[in-house]
Amino acid sequence: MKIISKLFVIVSLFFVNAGLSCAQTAEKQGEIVSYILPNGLHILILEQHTTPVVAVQVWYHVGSINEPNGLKGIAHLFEHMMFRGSKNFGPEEHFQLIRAAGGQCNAYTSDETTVYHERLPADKLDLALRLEADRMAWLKLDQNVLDTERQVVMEEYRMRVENDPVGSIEKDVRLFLYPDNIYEFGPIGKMQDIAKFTVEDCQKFYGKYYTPNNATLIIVGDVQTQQVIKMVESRFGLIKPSEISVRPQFVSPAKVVSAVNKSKTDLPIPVTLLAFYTAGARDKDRAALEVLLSSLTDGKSSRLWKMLIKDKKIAEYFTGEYIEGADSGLVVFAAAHLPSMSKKVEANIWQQLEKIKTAGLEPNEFTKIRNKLRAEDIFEKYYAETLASNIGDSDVVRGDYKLFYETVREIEDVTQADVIRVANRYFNRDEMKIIYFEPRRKVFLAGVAGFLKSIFN
Amino acid sequence: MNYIKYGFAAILFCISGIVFASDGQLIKYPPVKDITLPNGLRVMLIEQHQQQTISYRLLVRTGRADEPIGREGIASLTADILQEGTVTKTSDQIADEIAGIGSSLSVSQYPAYVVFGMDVIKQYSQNGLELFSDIIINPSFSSQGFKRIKNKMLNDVDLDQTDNDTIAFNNGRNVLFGSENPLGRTNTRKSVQAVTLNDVQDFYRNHYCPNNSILLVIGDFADGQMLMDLTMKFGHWQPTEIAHRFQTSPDFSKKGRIRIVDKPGMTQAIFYLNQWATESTDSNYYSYLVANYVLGGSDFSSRLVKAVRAKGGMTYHIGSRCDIHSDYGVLSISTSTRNQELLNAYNVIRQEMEKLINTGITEEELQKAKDYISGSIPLQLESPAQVAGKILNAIMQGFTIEDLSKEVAGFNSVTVDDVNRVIKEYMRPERLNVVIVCDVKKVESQLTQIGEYEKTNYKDSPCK
Repeated sequence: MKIISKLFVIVSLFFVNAGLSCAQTAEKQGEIVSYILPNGLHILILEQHTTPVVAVQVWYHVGSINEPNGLKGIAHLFEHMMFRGSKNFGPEEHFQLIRAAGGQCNAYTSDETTVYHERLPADKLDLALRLEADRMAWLKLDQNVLDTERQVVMEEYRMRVENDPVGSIEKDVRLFLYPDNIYEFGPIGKMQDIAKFTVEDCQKFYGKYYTPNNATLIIVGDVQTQQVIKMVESRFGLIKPSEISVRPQFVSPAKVVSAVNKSKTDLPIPVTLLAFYTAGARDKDRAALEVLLSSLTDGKSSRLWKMLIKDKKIAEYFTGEYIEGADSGLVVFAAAHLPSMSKKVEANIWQQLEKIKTAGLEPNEFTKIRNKLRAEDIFEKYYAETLASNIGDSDVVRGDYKLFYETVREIEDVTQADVIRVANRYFNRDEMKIIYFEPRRKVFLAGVAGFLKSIFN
Repeated sequence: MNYIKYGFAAILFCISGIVFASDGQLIKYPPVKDITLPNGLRVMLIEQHQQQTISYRLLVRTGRADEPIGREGIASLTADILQEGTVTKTSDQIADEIAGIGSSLSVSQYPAYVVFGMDVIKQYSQNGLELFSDIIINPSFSSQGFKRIKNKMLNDVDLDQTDNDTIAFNNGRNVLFGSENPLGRTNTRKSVQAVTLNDVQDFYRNHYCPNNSILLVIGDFADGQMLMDLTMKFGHWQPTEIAHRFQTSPDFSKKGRIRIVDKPGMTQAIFYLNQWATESTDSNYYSYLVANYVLGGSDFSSRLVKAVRAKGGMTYHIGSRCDIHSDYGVLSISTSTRNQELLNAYNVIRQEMEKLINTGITEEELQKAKDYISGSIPLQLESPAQVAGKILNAIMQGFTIEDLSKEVAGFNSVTVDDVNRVIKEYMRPERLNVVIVCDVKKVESQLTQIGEYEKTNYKDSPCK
């Protein structure tokens, strides 16, 4: 379901800081070369000579979880400001120069990171490095630009939250699942806070987080490692590091208890959403959880899609998502359905969960996920940008770039006992959160159809 | 070679790998074996041995353009029902077997054609081809599957009414193409309800045939063996007489219309503007693409983004795009802005178009556009899937692979005078259709200053 998936694409932006080692020597692991400049900038380089393309990504270890009260949304607004000019480049020149080189660039802000990315012809690598270094060292911040960009960001808020029913659902979900928590508002922030950011706020944010020792630079493509290291040293080497404060950590309640929330939506049919907290990307059970969720939710071959949509026809749309940060995660099952069907949706999801908790998965379910991962592992080699993103994810979210090579093996190693243990660890009724979204405008015929279906199904 | 003995006409493009000639003018695509089977199926084989993968693509020339009036949705329904079972396999078996080889089936629908795709690792190339051909050639048209897809499409109609961009786009299509043209029409509950399983079977029979399709396979295989395998699977697919399609004939003399779509509660106004553009077979094609690049097709390098977003702070997104086909083209501009800025944003867009006509583009803008276009080609050809997509799209635009290899040269031959002449000829503000989705009550005073407009409600069908 396009509309529901979109919700979780937005929610799914959870990343976190990796502990940087202080090693100063280049280290080779497989094909990725890891190198740390004296100022703390961590560089990861992977040569890929299939096409004359290079992907450059700067992962700053800062996101919306770093925002204090009153500044909710500043990480995202700051991402916009990074394109509005630095000492040697004018406003928007970053975009324009990359484009004139035949490349593309953009950025995104998540809960735990802010990532700037370029994809361009390999012989233009130095241009991307020069631009990234310039704004890391000498960003220009002034009132006029801030005022304009504030308006742009407020337009984005209107577009993504106020005028989009799915964005509005995401907002409600966060408020319910993460009250008074670092994940409560997400990267989009709060409109009333965005209206009040000052140049001083931005300057402080920049000085604190946009420093080489708070960033990981990833370069993948048709490049020569030793040349790249020299280029990076020349562009970034003189940028001063800053003192980085301890990053905020997700604090889970001492005891998670089940809770139910009811809310309204502009979608035409009700949505039922079941959520379960998990331990996140660095937990030992991550791979087992991935196998389990794949069998439940991955496509038309999955258990829940078949049961809810095809066989029992209880729901009109269904999606299941796993959203993970470094130290916390969330499993969400969401179904849009006719009125009066929410209890049946819930019961059927539980039926499958209970089954797995005692009997585990069928052998062919292991085969499917293993073959899917093997295929993905080969196909992603075509795309420098995908490889760069996966290396970034391995290093920054999971804590070690070497895990980039382990994805297939980790899945291969998952056993039936692992799946059963993980199902029992996470999927417990007394820890489940449920949110029901009822349409603001009720459709009479849909109500009748739903009522009848709930009786006879 | 094996395929010769079948007596097929073969056209070979003997070039090796995707490389640029030293002057950057010529892009050499990998060798393509381009063969037409006796049943009319065009087969294109491209060997690429970088990774052990094989990508199958089947393009069928059918889409919304072929839908009978009152049966809007039938093209999509037909494409979707193919996965709902074949004469020998249930939909569950198909889904499980595709997942079992670590693959998936993609269905990409365009107004005039649909592309089915399957990417597999080499180890499963035979299983993939077996499934892929079975799905395309032997659908069972299961009534259960039909009901489920139809029900989903009915829900999609309701969901589309909550998506402001879709509302604007559907109304914009209607204003430009008109209600008599299938491309101007939108799925409604009534039109989807009206489609029967027999209609779908007829639609399939009339459009899904080898002489209306192109099969492109790219990846790690030996072309002789692959051709034999494909012939085994697709050789018996029966050709048929292809149904007549409604011809789109752009009327460049027509003045633009303004349609306001009322949607209470909105805090933004959504704009979708369009007009006819040149077609891909026209000599102005490359000049027109450069004109669009400068207007709104290049993010922060474009005039619209600079004026409306970077300077004006009126929007998060604005852009223009060209959808250029062999028989017609459409230029569209889309954006959104807060209610208070509706009139300002509209005026700035108009002013930028007028400025483009009056003063034209500069040498610097032209050079930047050329630099981007020539530089971006490698980025468009990183994977076999991208190469396949680019080739199939070019064929649908009426180009050959030889034309495609001269793409950069085509752009490089464009002059400032060419672009400015094309802008004056095509990008006329008075021909611009304007659709605005907004809460009319909140912005009425601004709307009256835009000009005479027709008003509709977001729940109404755009083609009523």
